[in-house]
Amino acid sequence: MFEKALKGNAAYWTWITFLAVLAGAGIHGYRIQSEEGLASTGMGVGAVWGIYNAQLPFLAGLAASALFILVPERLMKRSELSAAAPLSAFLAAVAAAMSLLFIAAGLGMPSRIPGLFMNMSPSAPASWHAPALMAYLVLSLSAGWALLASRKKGTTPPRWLRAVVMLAVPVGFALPVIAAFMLAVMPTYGLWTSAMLAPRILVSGLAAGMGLLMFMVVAMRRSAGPDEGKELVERLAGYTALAGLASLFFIGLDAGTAFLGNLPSETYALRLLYSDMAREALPAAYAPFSLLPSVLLVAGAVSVALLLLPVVRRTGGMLAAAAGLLIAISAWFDRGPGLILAGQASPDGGTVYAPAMPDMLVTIGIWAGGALLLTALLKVTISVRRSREAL
Amino acid sequence: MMHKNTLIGLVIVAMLAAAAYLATGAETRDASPAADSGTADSTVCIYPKEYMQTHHMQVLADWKEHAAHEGPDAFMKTPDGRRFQKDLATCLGCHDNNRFFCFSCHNYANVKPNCWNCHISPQDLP
Amino acid sequence: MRKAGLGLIAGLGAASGILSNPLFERVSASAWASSPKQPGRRWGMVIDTRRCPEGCTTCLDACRRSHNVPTFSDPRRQVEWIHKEDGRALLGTACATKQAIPALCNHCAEPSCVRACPTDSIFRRKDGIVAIDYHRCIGCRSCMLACPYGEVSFNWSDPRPAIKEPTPEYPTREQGVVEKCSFCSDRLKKGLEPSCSSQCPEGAMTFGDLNDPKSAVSRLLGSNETMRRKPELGTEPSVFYII
Repeated sequence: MFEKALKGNAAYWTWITFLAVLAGAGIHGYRIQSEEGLASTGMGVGAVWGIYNAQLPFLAGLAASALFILVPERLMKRSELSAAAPLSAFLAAVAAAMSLLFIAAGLGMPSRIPGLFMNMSPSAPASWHAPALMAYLVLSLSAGWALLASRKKGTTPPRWLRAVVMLAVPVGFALPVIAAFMLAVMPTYGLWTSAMLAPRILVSGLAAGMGLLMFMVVAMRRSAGPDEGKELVERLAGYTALAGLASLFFIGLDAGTAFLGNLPSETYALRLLYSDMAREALPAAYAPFSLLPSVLLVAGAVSVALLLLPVVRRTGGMLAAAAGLLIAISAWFDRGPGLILAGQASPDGGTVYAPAMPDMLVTIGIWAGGALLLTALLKVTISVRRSREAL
Repeated sequence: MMHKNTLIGLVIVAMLAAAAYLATGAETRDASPAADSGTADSTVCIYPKEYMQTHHMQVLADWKEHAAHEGPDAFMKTPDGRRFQKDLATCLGCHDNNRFFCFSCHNYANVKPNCWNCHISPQDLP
Repeated sequence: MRKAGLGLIAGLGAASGILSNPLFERVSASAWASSPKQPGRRWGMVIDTRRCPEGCTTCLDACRRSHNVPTFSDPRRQVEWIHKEDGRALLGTACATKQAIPALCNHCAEPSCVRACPTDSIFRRKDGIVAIDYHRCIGCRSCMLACPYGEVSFNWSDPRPAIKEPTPEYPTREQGVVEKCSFCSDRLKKGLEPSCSSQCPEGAMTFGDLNDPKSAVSRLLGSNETMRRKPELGTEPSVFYII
């Protein structure tokens, strides 16, 4: 089935080449990093975690979002979601794979990666991270593949798929909880010790996942011709809007608690992100981007408001797709760099992380690798759909 | 079918290329100077000599685990009642009359254990 | 003023053997020893900051030498097992002194670094020492973020070139692992005291078994009011300061 990813027009191959070049740049960055050690990255005393770890909470939420499609579709016979089911499973698989790569990229001793699976210490939440991601990767990939294979053959999906989805439920919901709890053991960082962390990761991951899914379904409809997608887009837009609304509400709750309680660490991190203070406190590298967090937050909020309008949901065109994509980017910043990099900054001064060349390259490379994998899986999905239509 | 094989081939080639690219950066440690075959006169080791020749890696792996986690309580008792503190220094303390004790075999077999990344090798001592 | 408040509640620490909430605490040796939480030996240290002269770095140098701790000039790459810091920054505003006093791993009874380690490479030993298995550390740096005292360092690059006079008896570390004070568990094994406390010319650092009511540390804790770093976090450090 995978050979279908090898047939495409010029635009497809240009895109693949572009992503492959970026992934190659990532490999080059990793080579520099493994030669010179993590000293070659922007990390150091005072900025112990960098942009690698900053991707992990968002990706955990994104991976978990597939459950909100797979569970109703497989276990509750909601067939109107069927078209989105393989896509969401593939999105989750790509998110899990990228998480594993980001974990590996941030390790000082990559040769000891087997230790992550051999020397688990159950009382440490971080111990469960890599094994859970690995299990979820296998489960979601096999679910997506089996759904696609049965669609190709025109048969009903195999019965064991229900067991796979049932197994994926605890593993998937554990991902945001693990991502939150592995930060909760760090008592001095206010943003990380909030009990809202796990629900916020889950909900913004859900908004991002549904938004991306909507974007993919709309894009596929434009390239593969209209099919059952219309109702699906409306439904996905509804999910995105609701999850986005919940996410905004949670952001407000956390911010409200921080400012009403005048909690020093939390308010410092939030000011760093959303006020003028950033200009002085942040390294010069950030100066052109000091407005980015606010812009992304507003863009996310506006997109949620747009998707709450029934007209936009019903039309389900490029406007809804763009809103979905913006919500995903906004959620990425909120539960990614905004949480880890700003949350790590200390009010007592000290360095704030700014990426150097190798970590930047590796991060871009891993994202390109994820996009490459997702593109190939999407291509297979589209081809399967086309071949069904041709019958 | 043709396409499938092409694809698998391409993926393997890409992975090999990436691995080769990463591997060229790896440091190639020079083999230490040729060993002159002095004979170790450490009379009795913790296990019979033949066993140690084939299984010292397992013994050392077990020792390092216990030494780190149990500290002073990490002792090993031989069947004939001798007690040894589990510590690389215990080994080196007995095998100290031959600087090439570890190295003559390892060089011959082209084995590069990572012990000396941290532990200071007898070869590095004046 | 602060002492008056303390004497009143000194007897309340019986449950844990120590008062964990107030800034200043007086330890009752018998209550500490009968504490069920900590059977056996628990190594600890009392640092008398009154006897620690400004500008003296004997303990820091002794530590650096005896454990092959690398010296990096770039503050962003620094590796240290013990360092001296402004007393107010270490112990909070209740600490009157602004002179630099030594700070090292607190070997907490409730260490957050241990809960953060995904591979069980950092763990609390039976004798109270929080130790690192350098063979196992994968270099994820979770423990550095979890330690509220910032006492874990990471080898951002190869430490060997940064070690001026290597001590052959002790290993170095390698690029990509964390390291920190081990309470000189290598020296304890040989019956020696830690290098910092044994080399202090003023006798300002006292090392011993906190659970032994007759040890020098217990006597000091019983006869002085002491402070610990960030007691409000409940990590129960084993390093005490006399101000």
